[in-house]
Amino acid sequence: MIHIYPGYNKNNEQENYECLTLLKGSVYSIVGPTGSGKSQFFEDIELLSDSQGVTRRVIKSDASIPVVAHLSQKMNFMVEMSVEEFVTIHASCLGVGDTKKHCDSVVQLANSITGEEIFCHDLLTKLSGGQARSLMIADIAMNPNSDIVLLDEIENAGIDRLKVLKMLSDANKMVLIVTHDPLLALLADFRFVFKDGGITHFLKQTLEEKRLSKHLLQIDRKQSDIRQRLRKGMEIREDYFNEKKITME
Amino acid sequence: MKITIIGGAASTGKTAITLYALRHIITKGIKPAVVKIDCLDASQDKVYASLNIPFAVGLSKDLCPDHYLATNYIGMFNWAKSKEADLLIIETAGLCNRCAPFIDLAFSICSIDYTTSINAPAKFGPIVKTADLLLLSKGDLISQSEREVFNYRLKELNPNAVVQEVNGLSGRGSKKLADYILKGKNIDSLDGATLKYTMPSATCSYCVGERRIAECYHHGIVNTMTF
Ligand SMILES: Nc1nc2c(ncn2[C@@H]2O[C@H](COP(=O)(O)OP(=O)(O)OP(=O)(O)O)[C@@H](O)[C@H]2O)c(=O)[nH]1
Ligand SMILES: [Mg+2]
Ligand SMILES: [Zn+2]
Repeated sequence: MIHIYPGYNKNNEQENYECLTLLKGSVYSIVGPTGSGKSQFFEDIELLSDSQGVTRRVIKSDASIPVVAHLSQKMNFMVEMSVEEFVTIHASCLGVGDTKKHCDSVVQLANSITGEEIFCHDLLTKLSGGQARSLMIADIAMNPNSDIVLLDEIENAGIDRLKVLKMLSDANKMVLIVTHDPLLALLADFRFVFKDGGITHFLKQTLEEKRLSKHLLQIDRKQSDIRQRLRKGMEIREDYFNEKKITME
Repeated sequence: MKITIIGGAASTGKTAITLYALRHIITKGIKPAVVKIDCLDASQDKVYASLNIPFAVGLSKDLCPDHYLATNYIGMFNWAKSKEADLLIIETAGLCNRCAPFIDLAFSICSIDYTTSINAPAKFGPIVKTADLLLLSKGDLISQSEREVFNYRLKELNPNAVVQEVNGLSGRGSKKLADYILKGKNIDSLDGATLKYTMPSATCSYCVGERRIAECYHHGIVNTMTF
């Protein structure tokens, strides 16, 4: 559990809340234009910032120092090892007893969020973007020590991003995700809105939004369906849209 | 005056993050001075001067930069004092993993680039073991799991050092770094200071410029391989 006390935005105006409490097992989306203070917020959380920081936001944690995992679009595997070799080494650093079993679970979990199957003997550096991203996420989800997961725009990574959120919250992580994807933003339990370096809104997902997000989900499915069709060399015709409209209602 | 030494291989991000930390330090009204020690060229480091603080460069040329540093500590200290600095920061490109540049009276920072592979810690020696703070940069480029393995292995080498992750591009972590630097102790002189680790000897003929390789030119301390 972490508590956030108000800081100041770039115009030196105080943020308008008293204390925000973030819980393990919940998903928080973070929206706002580039440069609105989203990355700084991640830094504040990672370093448990005090009133001396750039934003003067005070962040306190119930656990003495939370273990924060960070994943962004830019990160790659660099080590020349097979999936199995590396996941096993990582597991032994984490103090996992049965590293073989752990490794199998990580790979299985990773395969549940990527369309291109990962094998234990694959070289890490040869994995596709989507495979690498899903392995990174599965390894974080299976890390018993990590409490907080910060995700930086993972929407273009070629993974099932909705399953990712579910996987991480099921693993009882506190998940914060910076996103420009309206579906992800809406599906989170809570939503932060940033502007000019400060938090302007902290909203709980309403029941109405939960209901309406189904529509966005339909649009999302349709988009990925069109993507698949294009990849198969198919043409997209008007009747495709008409036909889908009928099934949607 | 406080002294901080930042050592570590070339291009590990020492200058980038130190610039950010210096900005925090300067806004607190503290006067820093910076010296860069390198072998042949330190033109990249001239950016320090853009902060309008005293900045000097020492090039070791044919000498090991760490040996060169050891013989210049007192001079740099006196120079910074003459500039009325409150803090002297020495950035040095430690080259061989056999050397460590640190002295006991200074706050010692070892800069490490996460992208050098998680197998790198096995190759690190005294510079990691004698540091007070391990500065880890470029974590933005590798996976969380690799960072964790890297950290674990560094902790095995030096369990006492503080570990600080930074990003030299965004400045992430630079405020914490500045706080650590400012916690360093104030000293009046370096007279009683000692190196934390013995430097390897440069006592063979090649240390002093010999180029011919035949056996009769091997003088001084010679250690030949046995096959
Ligand atoms: N992606 C990334 N790049 C970084 C980071 N820190 C530094 N860099 C880049 O790495 C390069 C080298 O950084 P410097 O700060 O000059 O490294 P240095 O250790 O001072 O190098 P020398 O003084 O030559 O030994 C620059 O292009 C920086 O922009 C980081 O955290 N992430
Ligand atoms: Mg430099
Ligand atoms: Zn040396």
